[in-house]
Amino acid sequence: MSMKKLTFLFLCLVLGIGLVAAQTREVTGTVISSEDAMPVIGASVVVKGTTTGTVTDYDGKFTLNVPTSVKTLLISYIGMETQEVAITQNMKVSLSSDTQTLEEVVVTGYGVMKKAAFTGAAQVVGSDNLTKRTDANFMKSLEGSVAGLQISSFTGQPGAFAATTIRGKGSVNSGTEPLYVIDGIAIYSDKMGVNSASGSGDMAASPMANINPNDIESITVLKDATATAIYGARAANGVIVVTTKKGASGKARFNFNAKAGTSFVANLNNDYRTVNLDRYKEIWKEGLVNAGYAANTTEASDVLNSYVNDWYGVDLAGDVKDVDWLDAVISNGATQDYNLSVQGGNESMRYYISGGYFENKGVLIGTGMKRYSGRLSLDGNSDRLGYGLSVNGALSDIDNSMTESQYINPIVAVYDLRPFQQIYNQDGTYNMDAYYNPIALNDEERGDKRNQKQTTVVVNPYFTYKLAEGLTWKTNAGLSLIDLGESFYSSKYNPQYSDSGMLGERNMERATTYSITNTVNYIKSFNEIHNINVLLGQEAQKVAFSRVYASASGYPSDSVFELDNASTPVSAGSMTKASTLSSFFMNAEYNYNNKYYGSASFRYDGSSRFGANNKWAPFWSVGAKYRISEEAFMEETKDWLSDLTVRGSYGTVGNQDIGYYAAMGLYSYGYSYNSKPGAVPTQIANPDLKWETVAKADLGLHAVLFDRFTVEMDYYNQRTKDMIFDVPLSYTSGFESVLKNIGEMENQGFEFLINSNVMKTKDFRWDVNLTGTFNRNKIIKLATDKPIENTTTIRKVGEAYNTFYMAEYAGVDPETGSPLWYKGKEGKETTSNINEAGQRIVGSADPKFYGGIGMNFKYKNFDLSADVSYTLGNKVYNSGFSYDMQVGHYFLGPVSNYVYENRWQKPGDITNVPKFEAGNSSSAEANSTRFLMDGSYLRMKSVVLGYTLPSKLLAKAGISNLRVYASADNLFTITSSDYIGFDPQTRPTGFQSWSYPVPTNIMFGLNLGF
Amino acid sequence: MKNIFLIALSGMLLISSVSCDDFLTETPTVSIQEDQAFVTSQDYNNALHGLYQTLGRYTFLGRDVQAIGDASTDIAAHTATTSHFYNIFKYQILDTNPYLNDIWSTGYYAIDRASRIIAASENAQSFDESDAVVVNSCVAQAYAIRALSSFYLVNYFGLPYSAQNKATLGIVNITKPVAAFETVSRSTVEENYARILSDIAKAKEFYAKDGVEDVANIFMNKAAVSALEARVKLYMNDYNGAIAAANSAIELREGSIVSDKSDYVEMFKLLDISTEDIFVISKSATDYLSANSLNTLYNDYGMSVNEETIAEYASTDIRLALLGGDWKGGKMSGIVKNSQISNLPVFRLPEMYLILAESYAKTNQFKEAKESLLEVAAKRNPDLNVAAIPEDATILTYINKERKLELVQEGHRFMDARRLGEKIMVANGTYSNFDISKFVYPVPASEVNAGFGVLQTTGWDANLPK
Repeated sequence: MSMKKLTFLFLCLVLGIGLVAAQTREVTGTVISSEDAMPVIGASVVVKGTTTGTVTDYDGKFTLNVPTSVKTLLISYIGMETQEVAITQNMKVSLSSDTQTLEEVVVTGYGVMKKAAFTGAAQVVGSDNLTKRTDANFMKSLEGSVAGLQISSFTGQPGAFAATTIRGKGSVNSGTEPLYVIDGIAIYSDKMGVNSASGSGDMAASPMANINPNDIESITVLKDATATAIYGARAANGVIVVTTKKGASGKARFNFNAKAGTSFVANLNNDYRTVNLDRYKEIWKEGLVNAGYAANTTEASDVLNSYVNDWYGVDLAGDVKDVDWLDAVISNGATQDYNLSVQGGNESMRYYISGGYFENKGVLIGTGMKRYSGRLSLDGNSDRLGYGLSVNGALSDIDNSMTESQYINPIVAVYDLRPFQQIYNQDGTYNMDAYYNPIALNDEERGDKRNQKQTTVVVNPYFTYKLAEGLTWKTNAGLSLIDLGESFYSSKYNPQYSDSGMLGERNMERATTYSITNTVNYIKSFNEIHNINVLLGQEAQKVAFSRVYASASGYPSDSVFELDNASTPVSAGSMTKASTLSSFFMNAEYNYNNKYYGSASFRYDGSSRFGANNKWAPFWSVGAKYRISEEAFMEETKDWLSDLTVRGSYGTVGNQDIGYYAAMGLYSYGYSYNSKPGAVPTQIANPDLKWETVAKADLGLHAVLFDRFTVEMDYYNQRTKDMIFDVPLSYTSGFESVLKNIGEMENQGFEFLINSNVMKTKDFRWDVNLTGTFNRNKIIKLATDKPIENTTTIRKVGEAYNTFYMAEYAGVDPETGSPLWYKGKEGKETTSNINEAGQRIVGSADPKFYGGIGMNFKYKNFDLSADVSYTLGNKVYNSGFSYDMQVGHYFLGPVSNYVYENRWQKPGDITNVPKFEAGNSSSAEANSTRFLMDGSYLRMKSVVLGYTLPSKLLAKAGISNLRVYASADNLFTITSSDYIGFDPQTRPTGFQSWSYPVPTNIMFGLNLGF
Repeated sequence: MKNIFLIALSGMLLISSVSCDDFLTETPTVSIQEDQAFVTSQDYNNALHGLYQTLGRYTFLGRDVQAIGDASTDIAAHTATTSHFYNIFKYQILDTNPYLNDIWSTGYYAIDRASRIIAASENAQSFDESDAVVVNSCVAQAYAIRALSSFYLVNYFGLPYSAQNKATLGIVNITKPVAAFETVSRSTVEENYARILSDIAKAKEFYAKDGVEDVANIFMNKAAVSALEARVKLYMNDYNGAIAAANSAIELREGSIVSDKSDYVEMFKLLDISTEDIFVISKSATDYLSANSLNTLYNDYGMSVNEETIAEYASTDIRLALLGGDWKGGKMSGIVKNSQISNLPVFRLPEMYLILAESYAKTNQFKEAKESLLEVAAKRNPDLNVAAIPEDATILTYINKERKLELVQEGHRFMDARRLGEKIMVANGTYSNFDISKFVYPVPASEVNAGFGVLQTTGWDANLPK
């Protein structure tokens, strides 16, 4: 609709009102809050269907002239239930808080519906829960809050990627992340960055970290077939629908949220830390004596001193400062977060504008993040037309390090440094004999640079048109841009490039998503009993990705960093790729008197990624719900059982998350030899390649008891079929594998969510929420009959995908101090020869049970919430322990306190740490369950204590709401007794090594509304 | 209003369904589809360079082959600073060993890519004269590289060639590209060597075609083909054949062996082709393996030539200029500007003379044997006591020792010790008197488990050092 037409319509309306002006009457009234009987300031009082309206004043009073024909007024206020009230003299309207209403609404991205009517399995998380925690990535707040949702964050670095699965790992080779939909637009959530792939750094800034949690209204997690089938080929792993805040009618309301605080590593597991200088000398002397390099400790002292002098140039006999490298790289961090938003408007134009700044200085040297974000959301209605536009933009400036075994990860460097190696030389310069000296490497001016600037812009216009009564057309378009600019520099302090004149790298990546969705929705009630809701839609989407990379070395000095300064270009490249999706879908729901519900959906998706023979595929689902509590025979139970509903669904969804050109036979260039261009075959064709299908079955129950306890339970069984597998080929074919739809995997489980209002009195309220999930992942079929055996894992039919497979450690021989392993593939016989130890299945990285417990207390104006998340029964393998827990094979290397305190020393000692021997050749460092630990943990995720100032005081100052609070994240973590390390939470594969310690954040903040 | 809308709606739907198929077709921008891969002669060159790139990866002749070839023998030491190749060094071998997986897989990738070039030329339309010359040159080199890769694989995964071992399991023989899901099987060691010789003969045949010129030393040139032939025939104990091939290689190369210390150091400190190089894998400042290079393994990751071996060089030996003293990578210390860049020598002249020496000695031509030996030994050690070297069967001890000292760090020792039946110490003294000639590496578990017919060498682990 053009601007002119809009203005014309508006004028007509105004005139219309004027014409009718003669027949009006004055209505007055007061609006109060039902909770505390205080006046509601700024509540909107409107004549339904018109723009005639006003807002309440500081006393909650309003006066309005309305046409005599009008019988009711609409009273509304943000956060409160809207009411339609009959007009009387001196009206008194009582508005109640609508937190209940919020939970009852499920946003599916294609529509909004009441949870009570929704036949699928879904859970909604409100904005309050998202802002409790202080982390740039809002996904981390969901940990433990949503049944069936598991977050695996393997690094505490600011803004880092957190792997997410809903109801278990859904695929082996296709993506396992759920689909993220923000205001109806699917977001590109693949990892970006030149070092983002695992194996090359696993350093990924997450696009989710660019979304300001303060801008989120709610998150709906869609889990089963009914909930997700409408997303078709992208929904196999579930869908996370994020709804951002929109404008609301009324006068302009401002909201200012600020918080600031500090972060620190509460306690660094002493077992994992390396020994100090005295212990180092003591254990290495013992090691030298045990290995026969010296006859006694006095001699050993000389031998040790001479080795250390030869190899490190340090005279241990002299005055050597004991250096704690781990302390040197860990310091206190700090966080600040400021947000200002304003919303208001009227029927024809409502707005929400916000801006925010977030800053986090990491606890590990060289890490930190700044985020600038802004949002503009406009929507309005005019007669039959509805329209809106939202524009979100954010820029994150991130400094992070790699998270794997690269030496530029400061933790890796620290674990290869000895307590006698100094940080600085006598003259104050950095000691470069310390390999990859992390303090030098992170020197502010002359050190390495690893900076990422992530810019995201989402533009989302939509319009709706009411074609007829109950029939609405909606067009929703979206443009989402993620721009990642990486700027890396390896300085003179970095041994890898210091000889070749340092290395500068620039990587620019851009992912653009264009999408358009057209839907027609028909909602109708017949005789108040039969209710139907039919949706028909069409969608087209294109994702385009591009990258430009350049690097150069041969820098003339250590104070210039741009590539133009360097003398030798090292590499230059560019690439693009694109993928398209076209779909048609239908969703139909019927319910009889809010008692019996049935739904069905169908979607037909076509993707450019699949083989010529299988480009299109159908997905469908059926669901039913039975509200038993509405039946006549349930009348007696109504007073204690206000709702009892059972539901079930079955359907199929797909997974199209594979390479964009995975079905083609390809030769690729770029394999040059001696600067001559070269091509090699890189992929075999498979024109039959198609989607993975997940068949989801769900049975659920929902009950509300005594109006105080809400229980929701689900049993589910998800079977992934036609799983795309890299079918191993004989290497003689020239390829390692070919993609084929051949595998099957299953996730079966039970999840529950219990919300209970334990106590409620006039001044006090206590709520407890519990979530828990049992999930069992199992491989049903692989590409071949034989299992896939790797060095420490195995993929075997009947076992979970993430199963550990390695030699089983049997402790230490008390007579000799040699390490022992169990011989062969089974049995209890032990051997001290690692080559005789067979690989055995020794556990899984998947937890047996995980969930969270939340408690909220409210006493008068105080509020206190405590949230705990826990995981039980999973195993964690630290692949760095071959070195960190060494018993002497790495000559003069660092030694851990655990080894020092528990080593075998004389015959008769019972321990699990072998004899410490310089140059130890017992193979104690070989992969085995010696380094496999129980990863179960319970974490005090967040504790928040707040105080809301009495509104009486604030009203005079024009402030509608002021709350101050203090919060603590990750206050403590209880781990299993055999766990050694910084934090047991790690990648979904269960592997960790030299990971970033998880910080505790203590924050103080305020929420101010005016 | 409503009608206009409905018309517009149906119009949009119509448009979207018609152009759907086009919309769903995306072509890659950094790859080409396989039916476009061998059209012009330039395509053959591209494929050939891709083949060399494959050969020179760190997972094959860029590092792993040489590293395994030395780490598993009596010349290596390893400080365990890192775990790279530590399990090979310590003989902690499992069939899931990643380095063995690397060399088996990359070796076969090279064999497959060579086979594709050969197959494409056989199926191609006829080329005009100048294009035919290019294609024939590519095919000659493809055959030569296929033989070279197969040679390394049969020596790591099969027993050394001998009368008793001839019928034992070797590797899979490839004559044409293997299709996906095709079953293959391992041939015997004898059959493998026969195929290698056949490929060498084919390489020579294509090099002899009209207009085909010789190529540079960074490629498998004519001298390199003869050098490979000499080495293979030596390993097969075909001494006369080895002598003929070695002489041919020397003649074609027209090079010379250095005797000056600074010349020797320069050979390894510069990327220039030296007078001794017959075929090297080329690396450069814009194309090197950084932390994955053989250089880094020797410079930073803990591997080195052990003290005992260094002690075997005479004090005046020019080769000590790179070994001994403060260990810094030896031949692999890299070029001046970057310690991670070196060419990887595959065939060098000294090896040809040593092949001659050993072959002459084995055929009782001791005078010629001594002459050939001196071509290397006397040049490397100016103060060599020439008279002390006998002209009888005992000269073999000197030849074998010279071979060990000359080819250190180039990955020969594993293969030499096995074929010579020497019982050596390994893991720098942890095991001694190890009968390495009975030992083979296991076929990688991933190949066996793929289930396309490649069987594991049963009982391989019984021959690990004890």
